[in-house]
Amino acid sequence: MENIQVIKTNGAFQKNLENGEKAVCYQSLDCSVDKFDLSLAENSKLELLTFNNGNIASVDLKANLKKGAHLVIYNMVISGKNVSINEQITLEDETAKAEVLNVCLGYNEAKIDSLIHIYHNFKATESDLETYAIALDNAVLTLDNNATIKNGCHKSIAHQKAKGLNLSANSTIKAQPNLYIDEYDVEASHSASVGNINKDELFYLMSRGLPEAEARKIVVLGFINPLVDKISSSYDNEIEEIKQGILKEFSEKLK
Amino acid sequence: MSKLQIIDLHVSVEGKEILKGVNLEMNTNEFHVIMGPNGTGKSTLAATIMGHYKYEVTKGQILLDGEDVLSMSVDERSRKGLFLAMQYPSEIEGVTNSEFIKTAMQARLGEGERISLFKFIKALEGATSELKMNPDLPHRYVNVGFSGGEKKRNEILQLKILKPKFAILDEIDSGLDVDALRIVGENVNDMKSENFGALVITHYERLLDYIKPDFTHVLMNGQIVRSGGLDLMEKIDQEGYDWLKEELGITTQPEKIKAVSIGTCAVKQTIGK
Repeated sequence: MENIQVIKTNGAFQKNLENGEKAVCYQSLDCSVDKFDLSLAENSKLELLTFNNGNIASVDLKANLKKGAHLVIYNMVISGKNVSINEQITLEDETAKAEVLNVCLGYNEAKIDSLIHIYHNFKATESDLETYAIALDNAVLTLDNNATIKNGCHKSIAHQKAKGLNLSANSTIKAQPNLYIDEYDVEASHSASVGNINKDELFYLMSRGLPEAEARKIVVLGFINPLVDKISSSYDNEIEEIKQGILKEFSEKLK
Repeated sequence: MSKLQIIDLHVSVEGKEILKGVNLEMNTNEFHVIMGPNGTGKSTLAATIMGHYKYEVTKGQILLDGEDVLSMSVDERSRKGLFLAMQYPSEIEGVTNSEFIKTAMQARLGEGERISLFKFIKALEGATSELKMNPDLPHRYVNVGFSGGEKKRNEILQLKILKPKFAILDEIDSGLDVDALRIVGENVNDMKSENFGALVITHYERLLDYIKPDFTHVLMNGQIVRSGGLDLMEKIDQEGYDWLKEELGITTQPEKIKAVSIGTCAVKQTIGK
């Protein structure tokens, strides 16, 4: 069986993973972590789960990945206050890989800015960046996704996806999927879509007797559930409890 | 015993009148079939009864046991006892079938009442087995990745569990193979009772080998132009609709096609100059 460290953090988190080391890091739902400084040595792997319920106005993350290192980040944000997320991930050697999944729900007058930049500084590096936004009330959410592939970093792969669901006439979601590529021999894609709830899906659910508010909630939770499901909870029972807690928080905000 | 009445129903879609005065009355313990050539308004009628947002009722009434259906929201219509088995059911990502059906059952209960988990599982497993559906279905997202036939069976699964007074089955036979058609048809037919009736929209008599109708109606040009029994259905199946059009003096005008420009792209020179 693989030796995996399970780390529960309560404050600013700094971690240097040694060669081949594997770790999972999470925080409890009521904890505030505003700074992450990560360094992943060769063939190490870190899975990081962060949750922000509006207690933290600004979250900064910096990560450097060496050869074959693998970083997986799940950021879950549910906030009625302003939040700024700033993540900078550098893939410094070949086959380094970063996967980022950001799910942000903003309500009241919240202004949530998510700025993520992944730098491909070496050949055959890989990134996959997915950001999802749900805006209620007067919330304004900005998904600023960036990937840079430098010249000479051939065979690198960069994929980006941004999806937004606007649930109020006064809410706003801006999606900016940016790719800066200075190399021909790469694989890259980016997409962005922002919309309202599909009316036919609502009709279908309502035609089975679900009141409109319940039907809307089901559609939105259907948007969120598969994302939260991606968080692996096999390492620690508490992670499963946190996942359920995150889903409960989302569900309560959608009432 | 319940009664569904459709009285002088006029319906438009994007300003174009599709239904031009439909009259129909049905009771529970009756199966009615609506047939008609393509584009005559059969699916419009089905969707309008359920309250689809695209269809605007410009005149007429729909009454369920004397209550005005048109003033009800879609969910209220469902809870009052109407059910539409759709031709193209929606796919709902991230919501499992069992969660969805349980929520729909819960929506029918009064405030403070909770659905019995045991009863729910029993009902779901029973209906899944009777429809010979894959047992993993409760754990799959609603209609996502389902084949055409599985989607139709899923509609009937919901129908069996939710037990409405009236079901409108909009071409549920399309996409079904011979065995699935029999299973779906027999399951619907077995539901016929003092508490259940159905309005079946179909192009094919084959479904009606299993769903035994009491009345046949033909919808043409937005109106029910002829009603009868099984004999009418058999005649249509053998001879089509031309004899009826001729008898009624109905001529089908080919739809006028408006020429539109889709613009130009990267044209250097205007043609003809």
